[in-house]
Amino acid sequence: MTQPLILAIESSCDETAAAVVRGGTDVLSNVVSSQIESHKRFGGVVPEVASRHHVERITYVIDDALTEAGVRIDEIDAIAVTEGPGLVGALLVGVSAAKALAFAHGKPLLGVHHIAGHIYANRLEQELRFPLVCLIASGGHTELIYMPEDGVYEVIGETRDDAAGEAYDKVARTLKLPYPGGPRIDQLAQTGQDTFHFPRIWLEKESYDFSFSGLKSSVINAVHNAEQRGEVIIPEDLAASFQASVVEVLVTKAIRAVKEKGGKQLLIAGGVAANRGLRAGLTEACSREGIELVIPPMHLCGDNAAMIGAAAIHPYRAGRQSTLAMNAEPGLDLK
Amino acid sequence: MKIVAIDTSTKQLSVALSDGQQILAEASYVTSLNHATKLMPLLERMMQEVNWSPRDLTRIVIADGPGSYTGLRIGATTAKTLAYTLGIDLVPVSTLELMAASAGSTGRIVAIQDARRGTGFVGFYEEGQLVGEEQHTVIADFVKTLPTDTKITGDTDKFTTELQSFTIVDPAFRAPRAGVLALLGAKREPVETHAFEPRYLRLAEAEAKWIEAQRHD
Repeated sequence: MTQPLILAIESSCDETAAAVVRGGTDVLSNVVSSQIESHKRFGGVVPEVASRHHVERITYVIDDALTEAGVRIDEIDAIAVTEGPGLVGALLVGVSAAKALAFAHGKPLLGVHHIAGHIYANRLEQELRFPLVCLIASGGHTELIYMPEDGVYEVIGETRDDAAGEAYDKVARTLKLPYPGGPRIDQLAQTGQDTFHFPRIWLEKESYDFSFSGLKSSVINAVHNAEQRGEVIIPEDLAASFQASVVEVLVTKAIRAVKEKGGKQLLIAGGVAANRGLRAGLTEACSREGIELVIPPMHLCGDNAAMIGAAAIHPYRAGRQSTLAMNAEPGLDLK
Repeated sequence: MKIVAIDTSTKQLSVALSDGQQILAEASYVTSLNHATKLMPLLERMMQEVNWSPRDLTRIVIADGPGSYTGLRIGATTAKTLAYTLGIDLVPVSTLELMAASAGSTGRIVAIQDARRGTGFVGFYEEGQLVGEEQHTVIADFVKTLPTDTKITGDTDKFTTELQSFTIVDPAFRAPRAGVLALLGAKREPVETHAFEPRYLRLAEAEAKWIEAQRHD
């Protein structure tokens, strides 16, 4: 089978990205234009500002991706784009650009689920063996996904309130750390001790779901109580204690899912996959349990378009083309 | 010339094809609830009807605002991506100018877009030429500066009290038309495609608040 060349676009949050991927595995270019500097002043991503930046950057990013890959647009076999989930105004920029390209050159248009992209970021580095379990952790998502075979997704657990990354950002704000707070907490935690012993939220015994809002409240209360008593909090210890709770719950549920589902691999994906505490916790647990752990390289953990190009191989091979009536789907389910 | 003109800046979606002299095809959804899903299928069908291929196109004309932020982005992204990937000219035309021109009358005309709380985006045109600047302003104050023979078009229903002493453009000519847009943009200088952005004429709310906060610090 010849390996199709896919031009992929991603604009679901605050990164404007385009990539050229061959055969779902071979990254010829992966261009990401981050807006993080612009959103820092607001302490978080502002949807309207993000959408405006996407319009400013979109054609530059597409042009850079083609140039870096050394490919002309007429050599491309299909145009793939994140159709959801994400910020609707942000998604619409990528979707509009992808439709214009597909129409202008008569190429197939492929809609890709953002989380499928994060999962298949792993296949850019390593072969996947099914069945497997994937732990998704990012600013917007915390999910356990069971994949009986290639391209088939079954969500077996998800957060009932905050996403893990969201809890990180809120705790970071309480500690007055600059945005984005997640990586800063991780950094502080490296030199701290778990002295606070925050609760671990397990929910029902058999559940694979998560909940982080109770933990977040415990952390915020601990900080406020200390302030009222005039005590000094050691930020390193607070960060380490918070991270220990998050990591223990994520690791324990993920390992249990792999065992109960008979998974051959455990994948991690999403921005929180870059978290060193989580990587260390999973590495240790997987080696103890004899489970193969697949971790994406740091540069593929955040949002990017190479992962969308990787996941797009399924709709491409299955002939599942989208029409020019494609819309942005902010609440799209993973199917 | 083979021109595609697109206007997604208001609740109406309008697309037209022109050879630079005449309007060859024009279609509008007067209230389109979803420009994102309708724009490309409509353009594709119109191009098939007149037997044009995307590669034949020479110019994209886009109404660049002011207007609905989301609508502007759908049109702007589509237009700039088409112009970039086909290597053709991109020509923006003000949505307010388009509204004024679509009224099809001579003399003085003001186009108004409702921007809530008694404010609007306004442009004042005399024989097709912009007088002063397009702006976001309080309509009650703005109309006091206008000559009495000025005709008004756009969201006039939202400002009946403020506009009672002026002639209002007939509803049949109040909607912006992409056919008019195509002709307005046929002879203008193109812009740099990559750098093109819609004219929102207003900062994002968070940005305006942030700037205000800096001022107080």
